[in-house]
Amino acid sequence: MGSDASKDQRNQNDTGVQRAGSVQDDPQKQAGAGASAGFVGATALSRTGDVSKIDDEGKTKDQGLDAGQSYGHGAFMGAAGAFMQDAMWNSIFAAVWPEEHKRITEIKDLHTMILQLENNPVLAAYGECKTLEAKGEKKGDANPQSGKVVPQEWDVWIDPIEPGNLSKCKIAHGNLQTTILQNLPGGFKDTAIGYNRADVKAAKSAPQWMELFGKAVMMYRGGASVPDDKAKDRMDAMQKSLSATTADQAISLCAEFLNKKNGGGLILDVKSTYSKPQDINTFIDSLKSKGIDVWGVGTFRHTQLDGIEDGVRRVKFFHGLQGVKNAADNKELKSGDHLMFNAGSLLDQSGGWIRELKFGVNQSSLQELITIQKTYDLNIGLYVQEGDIDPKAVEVIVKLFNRMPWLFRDGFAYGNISGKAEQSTVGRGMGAQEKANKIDQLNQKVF
Amino acid sequence: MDAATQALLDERAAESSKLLDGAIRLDFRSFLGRQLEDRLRARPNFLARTPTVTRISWRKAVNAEADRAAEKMAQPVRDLRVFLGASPRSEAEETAALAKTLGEIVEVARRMLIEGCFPGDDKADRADVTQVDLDAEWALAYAPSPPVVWAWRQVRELDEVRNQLADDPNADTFEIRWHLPEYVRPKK
Repeated sequence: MGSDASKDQRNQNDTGVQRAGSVQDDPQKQAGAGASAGFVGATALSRTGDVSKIDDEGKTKDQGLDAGQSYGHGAFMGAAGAFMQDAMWNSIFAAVWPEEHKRITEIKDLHTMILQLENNPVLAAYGECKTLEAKGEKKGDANPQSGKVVPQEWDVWIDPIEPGNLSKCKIAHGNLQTTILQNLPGGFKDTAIGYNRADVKAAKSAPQWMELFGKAVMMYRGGASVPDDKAKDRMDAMQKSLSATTADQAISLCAEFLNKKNGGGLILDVKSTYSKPQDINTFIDSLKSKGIDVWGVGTFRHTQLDGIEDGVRRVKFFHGLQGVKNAADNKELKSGDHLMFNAGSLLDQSGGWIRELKFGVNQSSLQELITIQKTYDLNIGLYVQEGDIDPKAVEVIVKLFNRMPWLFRDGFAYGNISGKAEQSTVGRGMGAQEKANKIDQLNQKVF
Repeated sequence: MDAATQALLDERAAESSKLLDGAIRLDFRSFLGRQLEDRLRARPNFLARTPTVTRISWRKAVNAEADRAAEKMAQPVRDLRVFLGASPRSEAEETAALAKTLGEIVEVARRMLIEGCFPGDDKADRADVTQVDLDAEWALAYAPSPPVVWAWRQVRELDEVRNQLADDPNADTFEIRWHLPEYVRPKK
């Protein structure tokens, strides 16, 4: 889902803070030093704080996307700051994907860093491991079989010629231009824009993504058993684990995290608007043959969902509430539809200069949503752009979600560890989708 | 009891049961309607912000929800009658038991207020506050109205007539004399 945004007010907390020791200077030496709040990358400031947890105590393995935290949006992109500050994970990142690690650590602002880490498999592994620990697993166990795994999302560009060839797909969001081009009405929608863009071209394929994920988890398992104060021993243990892990083993381990029996699985955000439903089905079947369960397919181009195979949820993506309202007005919603939209579109923002900055759920918007949900018996899920959201806005959305689970039956795809939020990001969570939502407002019916 | 008298008792029991169901339905409609209406009258700013489509949906929902809740109550009320028949209580206790059983309507009202995004009772109706009160709480209490209690007593007394005569065909009680005066005791 789209995520770039204007940069007003961004990193407003940067001023006056001395740069802390940057772990990326020498990740291996820093392994085990422990995470600290401060700068990540070149000059990006990050701090992680607590927010209310998403209520999913009653969530069972077979509920998957249906309750609580439905999946880790953008590979837990909202945890990017904490991830980059975690010495052990920073070392893992540098070890398994050094060129990407170098590129990320040269980024100067947190917002860009979060966007650039979207879909990153090492960050996804971090999110899963931290989530398992938050749910009671012992540190370093990273055992998907506990059944407490959170499903993952792939922003996927399926190969137009060989849709079933996993090694030819690309897992990437696409940058701002890609997002805008994809949402233009008419001609551009059906063309393979992504493959002309460097950000997609440089992205990992499915097996590569899984291998990096699996190796990251193996390194974490190896290093976590060594005490924090023994950085050298820890690094040695992690390297030993990495050396002992073949690509196939890493992929197999990743597949366990992407399996329904462990509470995991995949939701595919199909970025390749040129892909026909039969192409998507072929892609899903290839994943299945590797032991990966696809819970659902989501797309902003809803005709792509017609003909998606049984057992795979068809999720209509919308940028904001206005898009949902337009779809209702245009009779484009069907009873029992599954849909997701950006929760930021429900929020009002007030204050910020003299008065305290506050977020709240707009009364009329929520009332309209509830009316539409009841009319069509919709299964609604929420997401936000984690790089563009104030922690206070996260708090309000979680509170709303926990108060109205019957309204949001398809959960909240929060791209961070439940109960945590990046403190240095600003906004109501809309990001680039603010523009798309405005376009939807222009397209609304006037009665 | 001869067949004709038995049929009379059955008929009166069925009629009183139907009356009770209707009274509960009316009571639920009245209770739910008042929860929304009274709050809307007291909150013109909140009402003004509420979209027309939402008001339309409330208007339909309030009666439908009340009827659905009343329908759901039929079995629990029947079961309560069975229990009280087997384990007699005072009239006041029986009424309290009925009130507790029907009290589920409070949860329906609470759900409707949440779904309607109504502010909590402790919040002022401000024009400049357009955000949903996510901590809203409401003072909600249901007590069966006098017609419901009257219909309930009719049902229970007819139940008692049936039970008294089953235990002792020669029983001579006020309930039998009032509710089934046609009954003729067997000759000793």
